[in-house]
Formats: sequence, structure tokens, C-alpha cells
Amino acid sequence: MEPVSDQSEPISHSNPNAVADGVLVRRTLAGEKRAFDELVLRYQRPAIAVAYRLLGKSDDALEIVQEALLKSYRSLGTLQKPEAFAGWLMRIVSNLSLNFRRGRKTRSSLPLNDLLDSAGEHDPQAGGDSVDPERVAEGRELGARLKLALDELPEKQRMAIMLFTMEQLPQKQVAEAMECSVEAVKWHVFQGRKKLKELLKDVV
Amino acid sequence: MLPDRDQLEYAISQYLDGTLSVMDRRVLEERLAADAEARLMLEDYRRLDERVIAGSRLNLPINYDRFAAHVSAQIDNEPAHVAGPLAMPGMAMGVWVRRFAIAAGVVMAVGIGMHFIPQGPTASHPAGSMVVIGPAVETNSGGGTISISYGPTDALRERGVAMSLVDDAIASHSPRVVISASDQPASGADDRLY
Repeated sequence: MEPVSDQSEPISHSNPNAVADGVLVRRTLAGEKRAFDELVLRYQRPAIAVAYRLLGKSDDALEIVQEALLKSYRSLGTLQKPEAFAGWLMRIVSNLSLNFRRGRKTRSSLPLNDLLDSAGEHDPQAGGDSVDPERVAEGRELGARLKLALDELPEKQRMAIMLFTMEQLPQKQVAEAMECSVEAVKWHVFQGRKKLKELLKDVV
Repeated sequence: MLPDRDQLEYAISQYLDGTLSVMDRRVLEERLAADAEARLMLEDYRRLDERVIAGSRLNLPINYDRFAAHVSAQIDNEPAHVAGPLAMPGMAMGVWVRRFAIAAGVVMAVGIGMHFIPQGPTASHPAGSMVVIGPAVETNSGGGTISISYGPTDALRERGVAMSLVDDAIASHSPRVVISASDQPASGADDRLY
């Protein structure tokens, strides 16, 4: 199967015809495991993207997101607001990623490499459909600079920028993921932007 | 009016995100119309966002369908949830029942204790006091027992007051109320005082 471009794709629950997250959570809790599959399909991309941005390696990101999804399934009964599933999952993903990053534990023996497409040397920053070598190089350079700049931000600002600006999650979900208010998310995004403007002034 | 540069920047940041209130948006737009520096600031932030989004595009070599199938297979190995937990969000019903039982037990014990405490100072029944401490609220995920008993004080017991005489003892001496709560099945008398 061809690699699917990640392109900060808006999450599918923005589709007004989609079954609401809260309904899927309740159905899962009623014993319908396939309802959870729908949640996995809906949030695996932003979850993997967040883990990748925090960890820098696709296979580590897959491992963490797999762990986060299993953990969320097992703990689903403790989720007080079923409609807050997305933010809650992102919080699990980001916490596991940060713990992983701090500990840099040894790799799991799970065969997750099988889930990577064969083009192992694929450049994750190359951009989706672009074949223009100049643009590819520019995208790679910008991606590398952005990664360095993000690493300079305090954790809350980095998370706010990653989840809101890059992954384009709604502020309410970002607030749930970061366990703070929507107003605090706005403030962290603003502070992050201010710092990024300074750090990236030669490429902006 | 937006009085200072910081507030102006913050307003511009929210304006870009579409999260500024209608009134603040109107104020900002008036400012933008009149202030070239503010327009430049907006343009800077807009360009920054474009660059951040462009630089954050990922094309990870991941087969998402296979990943989802892999997770689904792992979920299949997990026990299915059983209906119910959301009836009382965030807390299993059993915990509430146990908490209610503990609370009811405490209320009953205090009531019994109050009943046996002399209601006023008399020559034969001096005024007494009762101190109830706790119990602290704690979650209990397993089965538990509560036992409530009343009887003579340790001093009377040492003097050999038999349980058959307990009513007399309570009627004429300071009573003792014992409440014990445990997450273990009952295993005889528990002398812990609360």
C-alpha cells in the first residue's frame, strides 16, 4: 500500500455525518469492540504525528501510539466525558511519548517495522505529492529548523503549537489533552508563536 | 482600544485562529485599518503560521490500514467492556454502594452512641462526651465489611462484666461504641475505636 500523506489532515470527526466520539465510546463500553476500531481509524494519524514530532522516529511513534490506544481501551470506563475522547487520547500519547523520550527505553520486540511501508528511507519532511527537488530540499530544511525551534520552546508551548497549529485539533481538544483551559491554550499558542517568530526570523 | 503591544499581539494571534470574540475582532479590525505597524505584525504572524504548517507536513512511511488492523487484533485479545460504567460517570456503581454502606454504618453508629449518652447531667449519669474521628474517605475496589457493636468500656471488661450484663453496664456506666470497617472479610471482634 502506498504511504498516505499526513498533511495535517483534518480529523474525520469534523464530518457532520460522522458518529460522534461520545457515541462510539459508549458503544465500546457496551461491549462493541468494533466501535473502538472507528476511534482508532479516526485518531491514529494525529496521534502518530504527535508521537513522531516528540520522538523523531516512526517506529518509536508507532510503538507509543499502539500502547496509548490499548491503554485508552482498557481505561475507557474511567473517561468521565466520552465526547472528550480525542483530547484524552492525545494526552495519553503525549505523556507516553515524553516518558519514552526521557527514559529512551529499549525498543520493544513487537514487529512494528512491518507497519512501515517498504520505502524505509522515505523522507518524512519531504512533503506529500511534491516531486520538485528544490521544494523537497526546502521542505526538509524548513522542517529541520522548525524541529530545532520547537525543541527550544517550553513544553506547554510546544504541545499547544503542535496540537493546535500543526495538527489542527480544535482548541477544546487541545485543552483536554493539556489538562488546562481553552484560554490557557490560546495563551500558550501565542507565547509559542512569539518565540517561534524570533527563532525562525531568518526563514519567515 | 487595544492599549499596548503585547495585547495587540495577543489579539492578532487569536484573530488568526478565529477565536477572537466578535467585539474584540471589531476593535482589532479598526486598529488594523488605522495602524500600519499592526498590519505588519498581522502579516508577520500569518507568514509564520504558513511556514510552521509547511515545515510540519509529514509524509510518514506508515501503512495506516495495517496499523489499524494490528491494533484491532490486539483489542480483540482484550476482554470486552461490560455495560454500565457510564451510568455514574467516572465511578463504578459498586464503589458508590460501598461508600453509601460505610456512610450509613457511621450514621447508625453515631446514632446508637448518641442514644446511650446521658442527655443531661444527673448525679448518677454525669455528662459525657463522645468524640468521633474519621473515617477518612477512601476508595475501595474490593469487598468489605462493617461491624458495629456497643458494650462496656475496657475498665468494665477488666472487672469481668459479662456480655450478658452488657445492657446493665451500658445503662449505668459510660458506654463504648465500636465501629470497625475493613476491606477484609470479617474475622472476629475488631477493637479499633473511631
